[in-house]
Amino acid sequence: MLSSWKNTFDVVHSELELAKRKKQALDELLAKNRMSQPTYEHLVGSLNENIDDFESHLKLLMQKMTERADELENQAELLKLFLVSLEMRNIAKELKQETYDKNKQAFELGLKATEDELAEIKGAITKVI
Amino acid sequence: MQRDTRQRLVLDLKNVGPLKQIQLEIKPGINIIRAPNASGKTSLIRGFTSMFSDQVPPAHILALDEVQGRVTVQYGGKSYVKSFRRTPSGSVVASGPMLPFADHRAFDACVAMAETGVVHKITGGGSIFREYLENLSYGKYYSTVSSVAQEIVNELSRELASQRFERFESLPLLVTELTNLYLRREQAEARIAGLRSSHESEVQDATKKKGDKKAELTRQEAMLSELRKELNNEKEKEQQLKSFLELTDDSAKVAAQIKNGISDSKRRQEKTQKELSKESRRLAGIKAEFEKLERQYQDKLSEKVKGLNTLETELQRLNKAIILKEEAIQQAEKFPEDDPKYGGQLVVEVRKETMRKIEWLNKVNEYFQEKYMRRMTSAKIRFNRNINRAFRELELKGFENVFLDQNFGLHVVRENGVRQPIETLSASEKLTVSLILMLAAKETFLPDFPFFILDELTLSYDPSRFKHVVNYVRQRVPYVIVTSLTSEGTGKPTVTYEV
Repeated sequence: MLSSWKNTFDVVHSELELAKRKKQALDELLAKNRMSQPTYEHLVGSLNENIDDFESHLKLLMQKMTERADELENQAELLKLFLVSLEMRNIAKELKQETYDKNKQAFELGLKATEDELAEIKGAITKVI
Repeated sequence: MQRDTRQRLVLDLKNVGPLKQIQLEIKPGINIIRAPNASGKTSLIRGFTSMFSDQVPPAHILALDEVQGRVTVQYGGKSYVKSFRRTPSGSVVASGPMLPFADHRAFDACVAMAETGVVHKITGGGSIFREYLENLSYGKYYSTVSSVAQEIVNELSRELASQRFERFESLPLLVTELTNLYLRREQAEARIAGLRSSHESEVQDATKKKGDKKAELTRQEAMLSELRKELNNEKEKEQQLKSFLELTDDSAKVAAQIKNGISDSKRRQEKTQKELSKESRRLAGIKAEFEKLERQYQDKLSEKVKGLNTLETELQRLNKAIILKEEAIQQAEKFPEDDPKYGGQLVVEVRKETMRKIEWLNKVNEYFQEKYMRRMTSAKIRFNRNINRAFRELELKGFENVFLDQNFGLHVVRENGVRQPIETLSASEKLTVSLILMLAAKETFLPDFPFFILDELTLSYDPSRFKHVVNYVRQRVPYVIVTSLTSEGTGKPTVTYEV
């Protein structure tokens, strides 16, 4: 799910950047008298529409990614609690060594995957902000 | 409201078809024009129709071997003359006034001839009457305006898609390409700045190293100077002690002390001398290092930055490409000066104006389409109502209904409810259906037109059916003209009247 989001996010973000750069190119052409005002307005009109579309799409994606990041943070906290609880039970000799090892490995793997995904999402969000 | 048409009408024809000269009087009621075959009955009808409609070409009216002809109608105390003249090129032109109730649609609704119009269509098995109703209801005008608007829209759309506008349509692509060039230029500039900055730091580094070595060299030289000074002082001290010793008794205790002092001074001199030699060597080393650093510094200063040339060439190439692209954009936004239609104009403005025209024409098209649909729907409803009435009043046996469907297709329903294809009707049934349609058309669209003409259609009917149909027409139309074949008489058409 993340990779699909990330891919869309990256595509939309780069398209938005390109559209903004195109607008800048049009501004330069107008300033250099290489383009007339009516042609500029015609081209910039559709470009502004594109920029608005990309921005609203990106905003929506950001919102979803922020929600997902919150969800992952909760998940990471929960996994950490499970790990602490596991350690305590191990110290109290409530668990067999084999069970302890298995559970610990599972929690640690889950925690790592959660933290990796979270880092990736936060990285993507930071790129836009 | 029916116009009062109960007046006599005198028809005078000259050089019409095979008729050299004939005068007939048409009276209110049923006028039966009798004549043998090929004696001019149909020509007479064609000549008369030219006084209220232009649907029969003048060349079909004027006698083939004549250059001039004439149709005169005396009606309502006035005389109406239509002249026909053959031009040197062989075509025939007509001139002259029409009768006051003239209407070109009357030919389709009130003149039943075997070879034209509804009768011809139905006897040929035709069953779609859209065009017929379009003509009679003037729906054709709406559809023509609509078609013309659509044709202009198509023309303008083709123009917008033509090569003339191709360069303008490529403007977004050109802007994208220009943006890419700008981005590449920015990257090249950033790399050049990076290389220059890196080179500058290397030069700064070499300057610092050289400065440090220079300071070390200065310190070493100062130290050597101190050592030399110290050695000189010690030598002076030794000379002084030696001069004291000459003045002193050699056996005295003082002399021994002076000798000791001289020995100490010599030892110190030797030590200083050694140190001086050592530090001099060190100074030589520092000097060599300093010279090496100086050379390195000079080399670095004069050194060309690696890769900078390539990048600068690339930057120049990009700048040229940018200028060319900007020129291409500038050219694409205008029509060439030598363009015959839009020379020098801004494409965007021509395009905007064309789009505005298309939008307006689409509205016109839509408006007239709607008017057309309303008119045609209303015409069909009224037409069907009149068909139904004529059908009921004629009390035709064997039929249940005759009507036009929503696609203007004619349907004939037999008594048993079975729909019968038009082409399978008998000759008299086809004729009856044709007459019903024409009467309905007249009632619907030309209620005030005073004539109804049946040209030699009686052959398909038995006498009683013929009488029944003609009497029905007579009840609805002031003047009924019927042509009939006869083998009697002089060969010229004659009229008998039945009121």
